[in-house]
Amino acid sequence: MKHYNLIIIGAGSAGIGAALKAHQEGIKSILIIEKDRFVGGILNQCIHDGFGVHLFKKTLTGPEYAYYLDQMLKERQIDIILNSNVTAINENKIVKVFESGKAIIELSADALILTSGSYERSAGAINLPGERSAGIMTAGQAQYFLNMKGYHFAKNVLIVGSGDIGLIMARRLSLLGIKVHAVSEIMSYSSGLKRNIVQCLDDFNIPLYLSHKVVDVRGRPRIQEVDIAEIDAKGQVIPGTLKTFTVDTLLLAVGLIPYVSLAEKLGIPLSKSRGPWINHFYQTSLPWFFVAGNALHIHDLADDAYFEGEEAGAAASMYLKNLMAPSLKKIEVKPGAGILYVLPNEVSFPITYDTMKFKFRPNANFINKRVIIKNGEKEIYKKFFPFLFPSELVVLTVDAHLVSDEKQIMIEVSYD
Amino acid sequence: MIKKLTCLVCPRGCTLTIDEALNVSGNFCPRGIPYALQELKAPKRTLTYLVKVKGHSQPLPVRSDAPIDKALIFEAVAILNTLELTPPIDFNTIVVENILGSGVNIIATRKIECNEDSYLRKHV
Repeated sequence: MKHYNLIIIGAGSAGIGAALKAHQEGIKSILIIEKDRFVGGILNQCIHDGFGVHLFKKTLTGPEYAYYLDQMLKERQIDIILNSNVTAINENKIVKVFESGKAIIELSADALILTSGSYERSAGAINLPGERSAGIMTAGQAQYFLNMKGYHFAKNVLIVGSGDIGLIMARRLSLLGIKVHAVSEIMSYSSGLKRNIVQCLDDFNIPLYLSHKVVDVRGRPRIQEVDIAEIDAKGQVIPGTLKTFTVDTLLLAVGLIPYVSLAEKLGIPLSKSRGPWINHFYQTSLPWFFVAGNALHIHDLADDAYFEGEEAGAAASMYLKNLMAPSLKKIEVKPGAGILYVLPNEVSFPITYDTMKFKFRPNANFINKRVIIKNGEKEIYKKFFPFLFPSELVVLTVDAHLVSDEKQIMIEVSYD
Repeated sequence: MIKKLTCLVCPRGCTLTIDEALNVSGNFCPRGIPYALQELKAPKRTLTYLVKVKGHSQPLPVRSDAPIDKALIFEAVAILNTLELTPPIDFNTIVVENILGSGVNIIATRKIECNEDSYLRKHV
């Protein structure tokens, strides 16, 4: 059985970031396992531009970003197997791989980083009413069909969800001459970037219906009509606001969920972000099992996933070089008022680092609020924010010496 | 008249304000100023699209190497729809030079090998 110091699962931006960092830290034998035929993960199907502003200092398309990641890998001779799916990992650090669609092989590792990305919420996940007919698909699925396969499958489309994926698909379809009738959003605001509202909807005169939800889907075997209606603050449909669209395709762009089945099968507990529960080394309940990127929590930018991969790669390298002191004590980091989730879920002592990063998302839109980190009753950090949006991840860097191992940590939006 | 617009240069999306004397404010970085003035004069957008490749089911993703006049976008798309390229195609190859006389080139944003199976790289 072939042995590696470090096996990384997934060659998206987080996985590549992890591999390059571990290589830089002197880890000699690294293997990346990728299920697709290319390096870059989901970047390959995101043909629009706007990626890489932080990492490459210019705006790239997804395939260009993937190309540069691949170049960086090739320069360093890091092992990679493509077209290969990891089917299981066991507690003895044996990784079972269905290699190139040919044979099942087993590999062993000293440490592992899971960067397996995320999957899309489906019709069932949002309790979509009406028929389950052909023509209902997730936005990423549609993007894959169009951009990777060259299939054309729609003439008239309604998009549900106004996050960036929904907006990008609205432009993509419009450029192809497909009529996008509207984008329907259940929230009272779009969680997409403002620039995407302008260049994907406004440029093509596509209406955005905020505070609207799908109330019926009709047609068999393919959908023919979709009804949406306005909802009030309690989520109840407002009578007289029904709008009917005659469409053959309903695209669902309603959010992503970390893809962590390999971790779950090992009994690794999950946290509020729906990724594995981690300490500040990106280490799960199994000390040799690290996680980063969208498999940990959903990122706004590919660059952010890359940098998180680097951080996990650095931590895994410390672990492999026996530079990580054994954990003597742990304290929990809790999301308090106004916080959807916070990472890490716990701080392990000794902290080792001089500074610590806390990443969080607020659970609603806030204007002119302070965010406070408390260690027990003591405030160890506070910062003023003119705006806080659930769609924007916030990263706070705290002096590690301020964190005491006596009490739990709570991060909250201050209401005073 | 004072005009407000959203900067499209990067994902930050600053709200820019342009006053009568063409002074731009609200920009976080210097790139916002030329963007705002251009948007006022003649809006430009980066075009990303797909082009058919002979013998491949997967189309080639392409982009404009600079923003192109918004008014030309659909005409440019019509040209790209008529193309069918022959592999191999290298990364950054010019697919259409100076499209519609705009001074902007359409370039390949990935590498296409002769055979779809040749992507199956393995260094183990």
